[in-house]
Amino acid sequence: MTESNRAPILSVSGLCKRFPLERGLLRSLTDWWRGNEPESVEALSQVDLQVFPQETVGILGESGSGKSTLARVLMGLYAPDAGRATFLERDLFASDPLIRLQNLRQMQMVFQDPFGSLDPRMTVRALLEEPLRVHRTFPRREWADRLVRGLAEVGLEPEALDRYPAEFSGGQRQRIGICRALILDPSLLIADEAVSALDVSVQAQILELLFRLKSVRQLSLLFISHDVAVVRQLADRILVLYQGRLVESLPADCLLQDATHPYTRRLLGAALELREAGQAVPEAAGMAVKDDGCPCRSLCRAFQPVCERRPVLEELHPGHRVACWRPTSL
Amino acid sequence: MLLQIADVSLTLRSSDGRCLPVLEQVSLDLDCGQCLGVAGESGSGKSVLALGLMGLLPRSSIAALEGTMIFQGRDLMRLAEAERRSLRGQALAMVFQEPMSAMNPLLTLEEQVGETVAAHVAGVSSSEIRRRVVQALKRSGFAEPERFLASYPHQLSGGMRQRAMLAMALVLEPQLIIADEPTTALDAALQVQLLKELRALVREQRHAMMFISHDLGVIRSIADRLAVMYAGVIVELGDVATVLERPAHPYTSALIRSMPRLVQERRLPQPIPGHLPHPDRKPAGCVFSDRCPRAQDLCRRERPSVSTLAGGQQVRCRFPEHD
Repeated sequence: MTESNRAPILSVSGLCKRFPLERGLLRSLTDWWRGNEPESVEALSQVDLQVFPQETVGILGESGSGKSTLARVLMGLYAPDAGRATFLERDLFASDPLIRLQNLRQMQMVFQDPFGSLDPRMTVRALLEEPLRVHRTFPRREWADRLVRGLAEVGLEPEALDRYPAEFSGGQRQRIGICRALILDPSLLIADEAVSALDVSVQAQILELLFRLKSVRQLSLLFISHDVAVVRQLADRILVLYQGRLVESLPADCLLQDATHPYTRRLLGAALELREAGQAVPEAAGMAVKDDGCPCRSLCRAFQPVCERRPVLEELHPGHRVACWRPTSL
Repeated sequence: MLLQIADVSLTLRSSDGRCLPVLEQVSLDLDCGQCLGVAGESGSGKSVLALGLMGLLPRSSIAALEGTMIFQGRDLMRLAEAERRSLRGQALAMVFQEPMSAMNPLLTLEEQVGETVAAHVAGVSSSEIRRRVVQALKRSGFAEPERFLASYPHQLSGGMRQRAMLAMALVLEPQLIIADEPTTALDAALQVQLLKELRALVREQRHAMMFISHDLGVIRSIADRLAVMYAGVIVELGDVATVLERPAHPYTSALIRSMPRLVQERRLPQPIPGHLPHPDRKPAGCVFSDRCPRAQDLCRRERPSVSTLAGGQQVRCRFPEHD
């Protein structure tokens, strides 16, 4: 359900993030002396995306595709090198710390690792109160009530408040993580591989919880995952990231029939093989150091000289965009 | 038969002194050239089974043990430590789940893989160790192993680390390989590739493999037979395609429904209501009876015994589906 007539709550354009490559001291000094730009890896390159109210946008990509970097840049954990983002009509990358704090109150994240993302020395109460203390949006007397209601919402008893993360299972910890992300009543939730560390049956429980809360609280969701099956089942729209670039954007309903980009098709092939015993797929390519061509040249069967130039996302059908010079010849 | 596990029940003592029945009447067998998948949630006892086979459970934690694990005519659970040590690495080896914690960050790839050879083969020369290491790395899917011999674990990619783990298990060509979720941390494309290679290895080199995973999709693509474990009990055992296409135990079908699927209509995967019981709070009757949609009074009173269905699969359920 792409709601083209409504304004997006998050709108990102031209987002770039580079990380310097690790070099020896001598090499770095020579580079600096000669005025060479330090070599870097482009983790995100010209990423555009929009999230509409109550929409679930799935970001699909393998490790190294830049999907976690994207989440971290949006959350303000990394500063972007270029690009602009508007979130609820405010500048997401504003330098004013007050505006950033306001943005974060409306945008919260559920992390991948239910073990690493909760401080083992804090009780659940302390963990859940921390965002309330930082943001000061709700008066102190409301906290206790908020905590109990929040826990009930994710299916945990109030007794959990005085226990430590180590006393909970992975699934329960992820519930605590979700509760913590929702305690400030945000509008947008970023879930970065929120279920991939969990067993399949627990995964299903957490997904059900996440999507029930999403509809009850009318949240928008940016759901980041490497799992094609999960993203296809849950998202309204899917964006495919490859080596930091968006290569395809299409409605989730059309993924199986209409996916056009060779990389998307390759992901589908691998997932089909794992889930349904389908067909073979070629070996993955490594991370690219700055490069101006199509990132998929090495794995594409329809390679053309034009692919030495970088394709941009272009509309194939309404709602379906793909970054490929010859999408119809594939 | 290479490995015959018969009626193994194992009770472990927890650090606070409670007795936890972690395995109950587990029976399995496995022959050369075969891959047996063991599926179950965390806490189902599948890793304990693997550690028991490898002799890696501390003796002091074992409160009670019944049944036998006969491997090459010897009972693995009752071997002296020295005998176990001589089997590990040479006759049976394990591929662990997390390469970053199972590998020593201070050893190079060559030292890492070669350590097993040096420990088990008396008087082996360093050139012979290198030859074997290179061979094992090749068989684990390294295209040019020589390039990486001096690399430390952190310098290898996730896929390479996983292959290195495999090489560590393969270097002495053991008959039985126990793999505990060896591909979970990898991307789908890499996973598919590694699974194919493992499958070829088992078939061609006549290894036997026990492949432990919570992911039924992964097991389908590698195993010949599948054992589904729940709360320390094997609830269903049979040919992989039969068990996945015509599951007889309600837990197996619930597990299949909780998997996100790719080609079906779009809907959320269905969670199994309730939780896996803690080992010392298992239901008196069938272990799954408190979560089973079809449980009857009889199920809640008595543990069901194993029955064999027409399709050849064994199931521990009084009222199996597809009767």
